Amino acid sequence: MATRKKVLLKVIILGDSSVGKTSLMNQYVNKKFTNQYKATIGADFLTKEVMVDDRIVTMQIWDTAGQERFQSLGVAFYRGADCCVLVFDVTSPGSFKSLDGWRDEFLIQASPSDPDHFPFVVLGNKVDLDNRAVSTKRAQQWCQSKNGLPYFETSAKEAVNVEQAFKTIARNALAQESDVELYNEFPDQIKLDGGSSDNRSSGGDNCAC
Amino acid sequence: MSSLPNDFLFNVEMNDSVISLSSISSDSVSSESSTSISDNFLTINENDLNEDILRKEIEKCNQMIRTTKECSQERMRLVRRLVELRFKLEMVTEIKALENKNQLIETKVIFGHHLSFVWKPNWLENKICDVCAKTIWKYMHQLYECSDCGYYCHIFCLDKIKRVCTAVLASEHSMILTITPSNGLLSQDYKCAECQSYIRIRNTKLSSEDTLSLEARLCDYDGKFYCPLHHWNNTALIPARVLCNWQFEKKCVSQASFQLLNYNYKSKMYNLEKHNPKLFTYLESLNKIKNIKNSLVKMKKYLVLCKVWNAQLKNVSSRCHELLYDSVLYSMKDMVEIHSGLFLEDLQRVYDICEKHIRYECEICKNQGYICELCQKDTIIFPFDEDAHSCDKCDNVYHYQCWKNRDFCPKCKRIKERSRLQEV
Repeated sequence: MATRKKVLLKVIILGDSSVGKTSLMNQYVNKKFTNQYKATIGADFLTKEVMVDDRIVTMQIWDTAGQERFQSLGVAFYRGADCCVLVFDVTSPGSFKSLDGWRDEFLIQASPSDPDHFPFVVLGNKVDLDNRAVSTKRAQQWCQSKNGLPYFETSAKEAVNVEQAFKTIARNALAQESDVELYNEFPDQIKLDGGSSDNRSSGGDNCAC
Repeated sequence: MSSLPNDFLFNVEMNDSVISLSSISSDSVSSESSTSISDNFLTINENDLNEDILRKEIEKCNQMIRTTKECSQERMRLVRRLVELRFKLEMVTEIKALENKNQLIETKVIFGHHLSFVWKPNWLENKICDVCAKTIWKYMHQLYECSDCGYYCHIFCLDKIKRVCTAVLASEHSMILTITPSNGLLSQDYKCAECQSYIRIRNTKLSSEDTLSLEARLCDYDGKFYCPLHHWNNTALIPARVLCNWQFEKKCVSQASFQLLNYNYKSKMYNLEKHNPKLFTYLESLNKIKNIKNSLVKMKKYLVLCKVWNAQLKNVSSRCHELLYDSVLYSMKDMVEIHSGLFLEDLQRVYDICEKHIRYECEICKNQGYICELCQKDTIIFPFDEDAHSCDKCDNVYHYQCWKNRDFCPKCKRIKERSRLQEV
């Protein structure tokens, strides 16, 4: 029953400025890349319909401003997120260090029901560049320390690993979503049970024996 | 040039009479034989439109009319001919004027006015000359208009302009915000503040025309006395009276002040809060306006960034746009509307439109609200909510009550801690 239902998955992309959040989203949704840098102001979202394990899901991907001065508005959209993507630039150690801050801030503002097991996905972007400064090992170690977060090395420019990364994001988000759905379906089931039990009891009353 | 208007006036009058005459004569003309003398005498080559010949011809025609019998067919015909000739003369002079058009088209700069020649006045009413205070008859007189301040004058009054252009005055001087700062007629040496002609307080017992022209008239705006030529008893709202006393009674002002006040009527230049903060405590509507304006400033943060809003901006009325981008400054027009209640009505409407967009309609704006992390309630709050408190430093928003109990901003604390860690 639930498998045929359309599902909306809310994905939030976070990370320092100019690590490639918008580029990753554009590469995934529109298959386009531009070398021109334009700072995102405020927040915006794109939607994409994808098939995950025989289910049609709509991904609502929220792209956010990395620059602090463009974060003047609220982040109510963190609430009800199904997955959070933490992006850093493999050529910028600073952006890697900031991941802790982004993760903490997200957990505080989104306040998910189970913060320890909330699906984060970490992306080390710009692997096409030569001047790499954050090693794969270092990144993986950090991910391990946070309950084993999935880690991908991507290039939004060359479309390396973008598709695979978002597939994992969608799958993990869906897992989170179905958990919520289960909770949502519970009251319905109780109602149905209550109804049927009522019928039964009334039937029982009517029954002569 | 100066003789032309008189000619033309005569011309117009004649024209009227001739129309009636010719309509009477039209049926009888055909019956009479064409032996009239006018056809023999008054013949000029229609193509040879020379001004001098025309003038001579007109003179001749005039004399001939006098020799004819009163109310005779001959006279009627001659009068018609005269009118035709005068029209032709008018045409010739107009063509000549057009040839000198370049000279006329040049804007004349006098006392800051940029005066340009008005070719075809298309307004309904006749204007009044700002120099001689007499009517500029639009069919007779040629006139100049200042493109900056709307100053009008006869073509022959051009040399007598004394008043500096209102646009120049408005940009160089700030408005007088004390009520009628008068020093008495003596301080002006009994002279008009504009033209320096002698004036005196009018004695009502001697009501001759003579004293009327010398009457000293007080301008309520600048507190100076003027002669009737420069003070037409026109009334205007006085900014000082509105700002100090919230008094919306129109007072008599000099023509210069009248033009200045009208010129600045719509310009937002009065800081009510700075000039008279007490108004906000006495006028409930003004206080409401202030609160809504503060909210709109916070809403603008959302609207400026929202692509949905910017895309539909064309559909938003210009009034809404104007109010949304309003500052703390008010114009006289605003204050009149505040007085009548219209301003608050319009402002409330704008507030409702913007709130509806941010809070309910726009997915992007709505989702960029705040969730109070102190109480963790799921309701989205906005900086412009009445019960919301924004942190001065990090802009994070909490319920006012939640923040009051805590009295510090947890986000600021986190930011501080993080920067400390990064330094280590």
